[in-house]
Amino acid sequence: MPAVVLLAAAGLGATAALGGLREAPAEQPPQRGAGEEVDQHLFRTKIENAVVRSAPTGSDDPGAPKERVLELSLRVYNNARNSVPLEALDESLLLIAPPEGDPLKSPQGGRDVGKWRFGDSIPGEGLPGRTLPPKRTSLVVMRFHSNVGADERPPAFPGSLTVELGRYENHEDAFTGRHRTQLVTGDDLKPVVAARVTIPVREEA
Amino acid sequence: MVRPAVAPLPDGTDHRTGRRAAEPAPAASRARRAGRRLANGTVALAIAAGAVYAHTYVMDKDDLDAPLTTHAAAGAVAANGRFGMRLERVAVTRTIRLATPSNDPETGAQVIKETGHVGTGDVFVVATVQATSAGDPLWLKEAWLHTRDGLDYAVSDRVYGIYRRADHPIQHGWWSELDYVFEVPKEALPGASIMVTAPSSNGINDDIYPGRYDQLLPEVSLSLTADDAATRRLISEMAESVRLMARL
Repeated sequence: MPAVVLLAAAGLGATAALGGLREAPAEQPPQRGAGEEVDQHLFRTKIENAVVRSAPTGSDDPGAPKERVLELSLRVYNNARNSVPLEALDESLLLIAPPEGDPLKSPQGGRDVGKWRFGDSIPGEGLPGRTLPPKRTSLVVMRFHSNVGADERPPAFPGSLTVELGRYENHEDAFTGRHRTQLVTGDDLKPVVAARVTIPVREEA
Repeated sequence: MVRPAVAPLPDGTDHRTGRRAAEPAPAASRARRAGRRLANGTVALAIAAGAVYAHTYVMDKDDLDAPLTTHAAAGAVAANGRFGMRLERVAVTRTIRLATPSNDPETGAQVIKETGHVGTGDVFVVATVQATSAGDPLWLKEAWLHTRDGLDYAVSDRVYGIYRRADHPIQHGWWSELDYVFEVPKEALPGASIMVTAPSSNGINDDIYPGRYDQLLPEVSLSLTADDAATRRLISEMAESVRLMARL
Protein backbone atom coordinates (compact mmCIF):
# COMPACT_ATOMS: atom_id res chain seq x y z
CA MET A 1 0.00 0.00 0.00
CA PRO A 2 2.68 2.56 0.87
CA ALA A 3 4.41 1.66 -2.39
CA VAL A 4 1.28 2.59 -4.37
CA VAL A 5 0.96 5.89 -2.50
CA LEU A 6 4.66 6.58 -3.07
CA LEU A 7 4.32 5.81 -6.79
CA ALA A 8 1.26 8.07 -7.13
CA ALA A 9 3.03 10.90 -5.30
CA ALA A 10 6.12 10.48 -7.49
CA GLY A 11 3.97 10.55 -10.64
CA LEU A 12 2.10 13.63 -9.49
CA GLY A 13 5.38 15.30 -8.54
CA ALA A 14 6.91 14.50 -11.93
CA THR A 15 3.82 15.87 -13.73
CA ALA A 16 3.95 19.04 -11.67
CA ALA A 17 7.69 19.42 -12.20
CA LEU A 18 7.34 19.02 -15.96
CA GLY A 19 4.58 21.62 -16.11
CA GLY A 20 1.69 19.26 -16.77
CA LEU A 21 -0.56 20.90 -14.19
CA ARG A 22 -0.20 24.42 -15.55
CA GLU A 23 -3.19 25.96 -17.26
CA ALA A 24 -3.12 25.64 -21.02
CA PRO A 25 -2.96 28.94 -22.92
CA ALA A 26 -6.31 30.13 -24.20
CA GLU A 27 -6.97 29.01 -27.74
CA GLN A 28 -6.58 31.87 -30.16
CA PRO A 29 -9.32 32.49 -32.70
CA PRO A 30 -8.33 31.76 -36.31
CA GLN A 31 -6.64 34.58 -38.16
CA ARG A 32 -8.02 35.56 -41.57
CA GLY A 33 -7.02 38.05 -44.22
CA ALA A 34 -8.88 40.49 -46.41
CA GLY A 35 -11.39 38.81 -48.74
CA GLU A 36 -11.39 35.55 -46.79
CA GLU A 37 -14.74 34.18 -45.73
CA VAL A 38 -15.64 33.96 -42.05
CA ASP A 39 -18.48 31.65 -41.07
CA GLN A 40 -20.68 33.35 -38.48
CA HIS A 41 -23.43 30.73 -38.81
CA LEU A 42 -26.08 33.40 -39.46
CA PHE A 43 -23.81 35.20 -41.92
CA ARG A 44 -20.87 34.31 -44.09
CA THR A 45 -18.81 37.44 -44.11
CA LYS A 46 -15.94 38.61 -46.26
CA ILE A 47 -14.21 41.83 -45.30
CA GLU A 48 -13.16 43.14 -48.70
CA ASN A 49 -11.25 46.33 -48.09
CA ALA A 50 -10.82 49.43 -45.98
CA VAL A 51 -10.42 52.75 -47.74
CA VAL A 52 -9.96 56.32 -46.53
CA ARG A 53 -11.73 58.69 -48.90
CA SER A 54 -13.53 61.99 -49.09
CA ALA A 55 -17.29 61.83 -48.80
CA PRO A 56 -20.04 64.41 -48.44
CA THR A 57 -20.95 64.93 -44.79
CA GLY A 58 -24.66 64.41 -45.43
CA SER A 59 -25.01 61.17 -47.35
CA ASP A 60 -28.19 62.31 -49.18
CA ASP A 61 -26.89 65.61 -50.46
CA PRO A 62 -24.04 65.40 -53.01
CA GLY A 63 -23.33 69.14 -52.72
CA ALA A 64 -22.58 69.03 -48.99
CA PRO A 65 -19.07 69.82 -47.75
CA LYS A 66 -16.69 66.88 -47.88
CA GLU A 67 -14.92 65.14 -45.05
CA ARG A 68 -12.44 62.28 -44.82
CA VAL A 69 -14.04 59.00 -43.81
CA LEU A 70 -12.88 55.43 -43.44
CA GLU A 71 -15.02 52.99 -45.36
CA LEU A 72 -15.04 49.29 -44.60
CA SER A 73 -16.65 47.15 -47.32
CA LEU A 74 -18.06 43.74 -46.47
CA ARG A 75 -19.75 41.05 -48.53
CA VAL A 76 -22.33 39.41 -46.31
CA TYR A 77 -24.29 36.30 -47.21
CA ASN A 78 -27.43 36.03 -45.10
CA ASN A 79 -27.84 32.36 -44.27
CA ALA A 80 -31.22 32.78 -42.54
CA ARG A 81 -34.52 32.03 -44.23
CA ASN A 82 -35.80 35.55 -43.56
CA SER A 83 -34.61 39.14 -43.89
CA VAL A 84 -32.27 40.18 -41.11
CA PRO A 85 -31.73 43.78 -40.00
CA LEU A 86 -28.20 45.10 -40.31
CA GLU A 87 -28.05 45.58 -36.52
CA ALA A 88 -27.41 41.85 -36.24
CA LEU A 89 -24.23 42.28 -38.26
CA ASP A 90 -23.20 45.33 -36.21
CA GLU A 91 -23.52 43.30 -33.03
CA SER A 92 -21.39 40.49 -34.39
CA LEU A 93 -18.49 42.80 -35.29
CA LEU A 94 -17.21 42.76 -31.74
CA LEU A 95 -14.16 44.95 -32.11
CA ILE A 96 -12.77 47.09 -34.90
CA ALA A 97 -9.45 48.58 -33.85
CA PRO A 98 -6.01 49.53 -35.13
CA PRO A 99 -3.08 47.47 -33.73
CA GLU A 100 -2.59 50.20 -31.15
CA GLY A 101 -4.68 53.18 -30.23
CA ASP A 102 -8.36 53.83 -29.74
CA PRO A 103 -10.79 51.26 -31.13
CA LEU A 104 -13.13 52.44 -33.87
CA LYS A 105 -15.85 50.19 -32.55
CA SER A 106 -15.72 48.37 -29.25
CA PRO A 107 -18.14 46.21 -27.32
CA GLN A 108 -18.41 48.78 -24.52
CA GLY A 109 -18.94 51.78 -26.75
CA GLY A 110 -22.16 52.37 -28.59
CA ARG A 111 -22.55 53.79 -32.04
CA ASP A 112 -20.96 57.18 -31.29
CA VAL A 113 -19.04 56.82 -28.05
CA GLY A 114 -15.34 57.59 -28.16
CA LYS A 115 -13.42 59.25 -30.95
CA TRP A 116 -15.25 57.53 -33.79
CA ARG A 117 -18.83 57.12 -34.80
CA PHE A 118 -20.10 54.91 -37.57
CA GLY A 119 -23.05 54.18 -39.77
CA ASP A 120 -23.58 51.26 -42.07
CA SER A 121 -25.89 50.56 -44.96
CA ILE A 122 -26.46 48.50 -48.06
CA PRO A 123 -25.99 50.98 -50.93
CA GLY A 124 -28.89 51.28 -53.32
CA GLU A 125 -30.20 53.56 -56.00
CA GLY A 126 -31.86 56.59 -54.44
CA LEU A 127 -31.73 55.47 -50.82
CA PRO A 128 -29.60 52.86 -49.04
CA GLY A 129 -31.25 50.01 -47.19
CA ARG A 130 -30.54 48.40 -43.84
CA THR A 131 -32.02 44.92 -44.31
CA LEU A 132 -30.14 41.84 -45.50
CA PRO A 133 -32.36 39.75 -47.79
CA PRO A 134 -32.42 35.98 -47.16
CA LYS A 135 -30.02 33.56 -48.90
CA ARG A 136 -28.23 36.31 -50.78
CA THR A 137 -24.96 38.17 -50.62
CA SER A 138 -25.19 41.91 -50.02
CA LEU A 139 -22.53 44.57 -50.06
CA VAL A 140 -22.43 46.37 -46.73
CA VAL A 141 -20.51 49.61 -46.33
CA MET A 142 -19.50 50.73 -42.85
CA ARG A 143 -18.46 54.36 -42.70
CA PHE A 144 -16.44 55.72 -39.81
CA HIS A 145 -16.35 59.47 -39.08
CA SER A 146 -14.35 61.27 -36.47
CA ASN A 147 -16.47 62.06 -33.46
CA VAL A 148 -14.58 64.98 -31.91
CA GLY A 149 -15.60 68.61 -31.63
CA ALA A 150 -14.69 71.16 -34.29
CA ASP A 151 -11.94 72.68 -32.11
CA GLU A 152 -10.25 69.34 -31.49
CA ARG A 153 -7.86 67.62 -33.84
CA PRO A 154 -9.60 64.69 -35.56
CA PRO A 155 -8.02 61.30 -34.84
CA ALA A 156 -5.54 60.01 -37.41
CA PHE A 157 -6.66 57.21 -39.70
CA PRO A 158 -5.00 53.91 -38.80
CA GLY A 159 -2.71 52.07 -41.22
CA SER A 160 -4.40 48.75 -40.63
CA LEU A 161 -7.41 47.40 -38.83
CA THR A 162 -8.17 44.25 -36.88
CA VAL A 163 -11.77 43.13 -36.86
CA GLU A 164 -13.02 40.55 -34.39
CA LEU A 165 -16.10 38.69 -35.53
CA GLY A 166 -18.51 36.82 -33.29
CA ARG A 167 -20.58 33.82 -34.17
CA TYR A 168 -24.31 33.27 -33.93
CA GLU A 169 -26.10 30.15 -32.75
CA ASN A 170 -29.67 28.90 -32.73
CA HIS A 171 -30.14 29.33 -29.00
CA GLU A 172 -32.86 27.58 -27.05
CA ASP A 173 -34.59 29.84 -24.57
CA ALA A 174 -34.53 28.31 -21.10
CA PHE A 175 -37.96 29.65 -20.11
CA THR A 176 -40.01 28.94 -23.19
CA GLY A 177 -38.07 26.22 -25.00
CA ARG A 178 -38.24 28.33 -28.13
CA HIS A 179 -35.32 29.22 -30.38
CA ARG A 180 -33.74 32.46 -31.40
CA THR A 181 -30.49 33.53 -32.95
CA GLN A 182 -27.95 34.98 -30.56
CA LEU A 183 -24.21 35.40 -30.25
CA VAL A 184 -22.26 32.51 -28.80
CA THR A 185 -20.96 33.57 -25.40
CA GLY A 186 -18.13 32.16 -23.34
CA ASP A 187 -18.02 31.28 -19.65
CA ASP A 188 -17.65 34.98 -18.84
CA LEU A 189 -20.90 35.67 -20.76
CA LYS A 190 -18.97 37.80 -23.25
CA PRO A 191 -19.33 37.01 -26.96
CA VAL A 192 -16.74 34.55 -28.22
CA VAL A 193 -14.42 35.73 -30.99
CA ALA A 194 -14.92 33.33 -33.90
CA ALA A 195 -12.27 34.85 -36.16
CA ARG A 196 -9.94 37.79 -36.34
CA VAL A 197 -9.43 39.58 -39.64
CA THR A 198 -6.54 41.94 -40.23
CA ILE A 199 -6.88 44.30 -43.14
CA PRO A 200 -4.66 47.12 -44.42
CA VAL A 201 -6.21 50.57 -44.82
CA ARG A 202 -5.74 52.16 -48.23
CA GLU A 203 -5.66 55.94 -48.76
CA GLU A 204 -7.54 57.45 -51.65
CA ALA A 205 -7.45 60.98 -52.91
CA MET B 1 -74.97 -13.74 -16.89
CA VAL B 2 -73.81 -16.30 -14.42
CA ARG B 3 -71.98 -19.15 -15.94
CA PRO B 4 -71.89 -22.46 -14.02
CA ALA B 5 -68.45 -23.62 -13.17
CA VAL B 6 -67.58 -26.51 -15.37
CA ALA B 7 -64.69 -28.78 -14.67
CA PRO B 8 -62.68 -30.05 -17.65
CA LEU B 9 -63.76 -33.43 -18.81
CA PRO B 10 -61.51 -36.19 -17.53
CA ASP B 11 -60.35 -37.34 -21.00
CA GLY B 12 -58.90 -33.93 -21.88
CA THR B 13 -61.71 -32.94 -24.23
CA ASP B 14 -62.36 -29.22 -24.27
CA HIS B 15 -65.80 -28.79 -22.84
CA ARG B 16 -66.54 -25.79 -25.07
CA THR B 17 -65.53 -27.16 -28.42
CA GLY B 18 -65.83 -30.78 -27.50
CA ARG B 19 -62.63 -31.34 -29.42
CA ARG B 20 -59.83 -33.29 -27.92
CA ALA B 21 -56.60 -31.34 -27.35
CA ALA B 22 -53.91 -32.75 -29.56
CA GLU B 23 -51.10 -34.43 -27.78
CA PRO B 24 -48.15 -32.11 -28.59
CA ALA B 25 -44.97 -33.62 -29.97
CA PRO B 26 -42.14 -32.11 -27.87
CA ALA B 27 -39.76 -31.08 -30.74
CA ALA B 28 -42.48 -29.56 -32.94
CA SER B 29 -43.95 -27.56 -30.04
CA ARG B 30 -40.57 -26.17 -29.12
CA ALA B 31 -40.03 -25.07 -32.74
CA ARG B 32 -43.50 -23.53 -32.87
CA ARG B 33 -42.92 -21.70 -29.60
CA ALA B 34 -39.61 -20.37 -30.83
CA GLY B 35 -41.24 -19.26 -34.06
CA ARG B 36 -44.03 -17.49 -32.19
CA ARG B 37 -41.51 -15.82 -29.95
CA LEU B 38 -39.56 -14.61 -32.96
CA ALA B 39 -42.74 -13.29 -34.60
CA ASN B 40 -43.78 -11.54 -31.38
CA GLY B 41 -40.34 -10.03 -31.04
CA THR B 42 -40.44 -8.77 -34.61
CA VAL B 43 -43.87 -7.21 -34.09
CA ALA B 44 -42.76 -5.60 -30.83
CA LEU B 45 -39.65 -4.20 -32.49
CA ALA B 46 -41.71 -2.84 -35.38
CA ILE B 47 -44.15 -1.17 -32.98
CA ALA B 48 -41.29 0.33 -30.96
CA ALA B 49 -39.58 1.60 -34.13
CA GLY B 50 -42.88 3.05 -35.32
CA ALA B 51 -43.35 4.82 -31.99
CA VAL B 52 -39.86 6.28 -32.20
CA TYR B 53 -40.52 7.41 -35.78
CA ALA B 54 -43.89 8.89 -34.83
CA HIS B 55 -42.06 11.01 -32.29
CA THR B 56 -40.46 12.95 -35.14
CA TYR B 57 -43.94 14.35 -35.82
CA VAL B 58 -44.18 15.84 -32.32
CA MET B 59 -44.20 19.63 -32.67
CA ASP B 60 -41.47 21.55 -30.92
CA LYS B 61 -42.14 24.64 -28.83
CA ASP B 62 -41.54 26.95 -31.78
CA ASP B 63 -44.26 25.21 -33.75
CA LEU B 64 -46.63 24.96 -30.79
CA ASP B 65 -46.43 28.72 -30.20
CA ALA B 66 -46.38 29.74 -33.87
CA PRO B 67 -49.06 32.12 -35.15
CA LEU B 68 -52.40 30.74 -36.27
CA THR B 69 -52.71 31.60 -39.93
CA THR B 70 -55.87 32.31 -41.87
CA HIS B 71 -55.29 31.87 -45.60
CA ALA B 72 -57.13 33.76 -48.30
CA ALA B 73 -57.05 33.58 -52.08
CA ALA B 74 -55.95 36.63 -54.05
CA GLY B 75 -58.45 39.42 -53.38
CA ALA B 76 -60.46 37.51 -50.77
CA VAL B 77 -60.85 38.58 -47.16
CA ALA B 78 -58.85 36.75 -44.52
CA ALA B 79 -60.43 37.37 -41.13
CA ASN B 80 -59.26 36.22 -37.73
CA GLY B 81 -60.33 37.21 -34.23
CA ARG B 82 -58.36 40.45 -34.27
CA PHE B 83 -58.55 41.86 -37.78
CA GLY B 84 -59.61 41.22 -41.34
CA MET B 85 -57.55 42.01 -44.40
CA ARG B 86 -57.81 41.66 -48.14
CA LEU B 87 -55.39 42.32 -50.96
CA GLU B 88 -56.74 45.14 -53.07
CA ARG B 89 -54.13 45.36 -55.84
CA VAL B 90 -50.52 44.54 -56.59
CA ALA B 91 -48.02 46.38 -58.76
CA VAL B 92 -44.49 45.37 -59.67
CA THR B 93 -41.88 47.94 -60.61
CA ARG B 94 -38.19 48.74 -60.53
CA THR B 95 -38.52 52.36 -59.47
CA ILE B 96 -40.64 53.99 -56.82
CA ARG B 97 -41.12 57.74 -57.03
CA LEU B 98 -41.72 59.40 -53.70
CA ALA B 99 -44.06 62.37 -53.79
CA THR B 100 -45.12 64.92 -51.21
CA PRO B 101 -48.32 66.91 -51.56
CA SER B 102 -48.52 70.54 -50.54
CA ASN B 103 -50.83 73.46 -51.13
CA ASP B 104 -49.94 76.36 -53.39
CA PRO B 105 -49.86 79.43 -51.12
CA GLU B 106 -51.54 81.65 -53.73
CA THR B 107 -54.22 79.54 -55.32
CA GLY B 108 -54.69 76.98 -52.56
CA ALA B 109 -54.61 74.21 -55.11
CA GLN B 110 -52.87 70.99 -54.23
CA VAL B 111 -49.37 70.66 -55.67
CA ILE B 112 -47.62 67.32 -55.75
CA LYS B 113 -43.86 67.49 -55.72
CA GLU B 114 -41.69 64.49 -56.34
CA THR B 115 -38.98 64.54 -53.73
CA GLY B 116 -36.97 61.47 -54.61
CA HIS B 117 -36.96 57.95 -55.90
CA VAL B 118 -35.65 54.54 -54.99
CA GLY B 119 -34.58 51.98 -57.55
CA THR B 120 -33.57 48.35 -57.44
CA GLY B 121 -31.97 45.72 -59.64
CA ASP B 122 -34.62 43.27 -58.41
CA VAL B 123 -38.25 44.32 -58.25
CA PHE B 124 -40.41 46.23 -55.85
CA VAL B 125 -43.77 44.66 -55.06
CA VAL B 126 -46.27 47.33 -54.04
CA ALA B 127 -49.22 45.59 -52.43
CA THR B 128 -52.21 47.68 -51.44
CA VAL B 129 -54.37 46.04 -48.78
CA GLN B 130 -57.54 47.00 -46.98
CA ALA B 131 -57.95 46.12 -43.34
CA THR B 132 -60.44 46.44 -40.54
CA SER B 133 -60.18 45.65 -36.85
CA ALA B 134 -62.53 43.43 -34.88
CA GLY B 135 -62.05 45.49 -31.72
CA ASP B 136 -59.24 47.77 -30.64
CA PRO B 137 -57.43 49.95 -33.18
CA LEU B 138 -54.38 48.28 -34.67
CA TRP B 139 -51.27 49.36 -36.50
CA LEU B 140 -50.10 46.73 -38.94
CA LYS B 141 -46.84 48.20 -40.23
CA GLU B 142 -44.93 44.98 -40.48
CA ALA B 143 -45.53 42.34 -43.09
CA TRP B 144 -43.55 39.55 -44.70
CA LEU B 145 -43.57 38.28 -48.24
CA HIS B 146 -43.50 34.52 -47.88
CA THR B 147 -42.21 32.71 -50.96
CA ARG B 148 -43.06 29.25 -52.21
CA ASP B 149 -39.71 27.85 -51.11
CA GLY B 150 -40.11 29.20 -47.59
CA LEU B 151 -38.11 32.43 -47.60
CA ASP B 152 -39.51 35.49 -45.84
CA TYR B 153 -38.76 39.01 -47.04
CA ALA B 154 -39.47 41.90 -44.68
CA VAL B 155 -41.11 45.12 -45.79
CA SER B 156 -38.45 47.25 -47.47
CA ASP B 157 -36.97 49.88 -45.21
CA ARG B 158 -36.00 51.97 -48.23
CA VAL B 159 -39.55 53.30 -48.52
CA TYR B 160 -40.46 55.06 -45.30
CA GLY B 161 -43.74 54.35 -43.58
CA ILE B 162 -45.12 57.80 -44.37
CA TYR B 163 -45.22 56.86 -48.08
CA ARG B 164 -47.26 53.73 -47.47
CA ARG B 165 -49.79 54.91 -44.87
CA ALA B 166 -48.18 52.62 -42.28
CA ASP B 167 -49.18 54.89 -39.39
CA HIS B 168 -52.85 54.94 -40.28
CA PRO B 169 -54.79 53.11 -37.58
CA ILE B 170 -56.93 50.16 -38.54
CA GLN B 171 -60.21 50.51 -36.72
CA HIS B 172 -63.45 48.72 -36.10
CA GLY B 173 -66.30 49.59 -38.41
CA TRP B 174 -64.61 50.50 -41.67
CA TRP B 175 -61.85 49.45 -43.98
CA SER B 176 -58.62 51.44 -44.15
CA GLU B 177 -56.08 51.17 -46.92
CA LEU B 178 -52.32 50.80 -46.57
CA ASP B 179 -49.44 49.69 -48.77
CA TYR B 180 -46.67 47.18 -48.24
CA VAL B 181 -43.51 47.49 -50.34
CA PHE B 182 -41.19 44.51 -50.68
CA GLU B 183 -37.88 44.36 -52.51
CA VAL B 184 -37.50 40.82 -53.84
CA PRO B 185 -35.93 38.98 -56.76
CA LYS B 186 -38.38 38.26 -59.57
CA GLU B 187 -38.10 34.51 -58.99
CA ALA B 188 -39.66 34.91 -55.55
CA LEU B 189 -43.02 36.06 -56.90
CA PRO B 190 -44.72 32.85 -58.16
CA GLY B 191 -46.69 31.33 -55.29
CA ALA B 192 -45.81 34.09 -52.88
CA SER B 193 -48.14 35.38 -50.19
CA ILE B 194 -48.21 38.31 -47.81
CA MET B 195 -48.15 37.46 -44.13
CA VAL B 196 -49.38 39.95 -41.54
CA THR B 197 -49.39 39.09 -37.84
CA ALA B 198 -51.42 40.86 -35.18
CA PRO B 199 -49.28 42.67 -32.63
CA SER B 200 -48.71 41.06 -29.26
CA SER B 201 -51.49 41.70 -26.76
CA ASN B 202 -50.12 40.01 -23.64
CA GLY B 203 -48.63 43.24 -22.29
CA ILE B 204 -45.13 41.83 -21.77
CA ASN B 205 -42.39 43.98 -23.23
CA ASP B 206 -39.30 41.81 -23.55
CA ASP B 207 -36.41 43.83 -24.92
CA ILE B 208 -34.01 40.93 -25.25
CA TYR B 209 -36.36 38.68 -27.13
CA PRO B 210 -39.42 40.47 -28.45
CA GLY B 211 -42.31 38.08 -28.67
CA ARG B 212 -40.79 35.55 -26.30
CA TYR B 213 -44.11 34.80 -24.60
CA ASP B 214 -46.42 35.34 -27.56
CA GLN B 215 -48.41 32.29 -28.43
CA LEU B 216 -50.74 31.57 -31.33
CA LEU B 217 -50.93 35.16 -32.53
CA PRO B 218 -53.56 35.70 -35.20
CA GLU B 219 -52.01 35.95 -38.64
CA VAL B 220 -53.31 36.29 -42.17
CA SER B 221 -51.77 34.98 -45.35
CA LEU B 222 -52.95 36.68 -48.55
CA SER B 223 -52.03 35.08 -51.85
CA LEU B 224 -50.28 37.59 -54.05
CA THR B 225 -51.74 36.30 -57.31
CA ALA B 226 -54.34 33.73 -58.30
CA ASP B 227 -51.85 31.45 -60.06
CA ASP B 228 -48.49 31.37 -61.81
CA ALA B 229 -49.98 32.65 -65.05
CA ALA B 230 -51.25 35.71 -63.19
CA THR B 231 -47.76 36.19 -61.73
CA ARG B 232 -46.18 36.05 -65.19
CA ARG B 233 -48.73 38.59 -66.40
CA LEU B 234 -47.94 40.80 -63.41
CA ILE B 235 -44.22 40.70 -64.23
CA SER B 236 -44.70 41.21 -67.97
CA GLU B 237 -46.96 44.20 -67.31
CA MET B 238 -44.39 45.69 -64.97
CA ALA B 239 -44.95 49.41 -64.43
CA GLU B 240 -42.12 51.76 -65.42
CA SER B 241 -42.41 53.32 -62.00
CA VAL B 242 -44.94 53.61 -59.21
CA ARG B 243 -45.62 56.84 -57.38
CA LEU B 244 -46.22 56.68 -53.65
CA MET B 245 -47.49 59.77 -51.93
CA ALA B 246 -46.65 60.87 -48.43
CA ARG B 247 -49.88 60.81 -46.43
CA LEU B 248 -50.12 61.67 -42.79
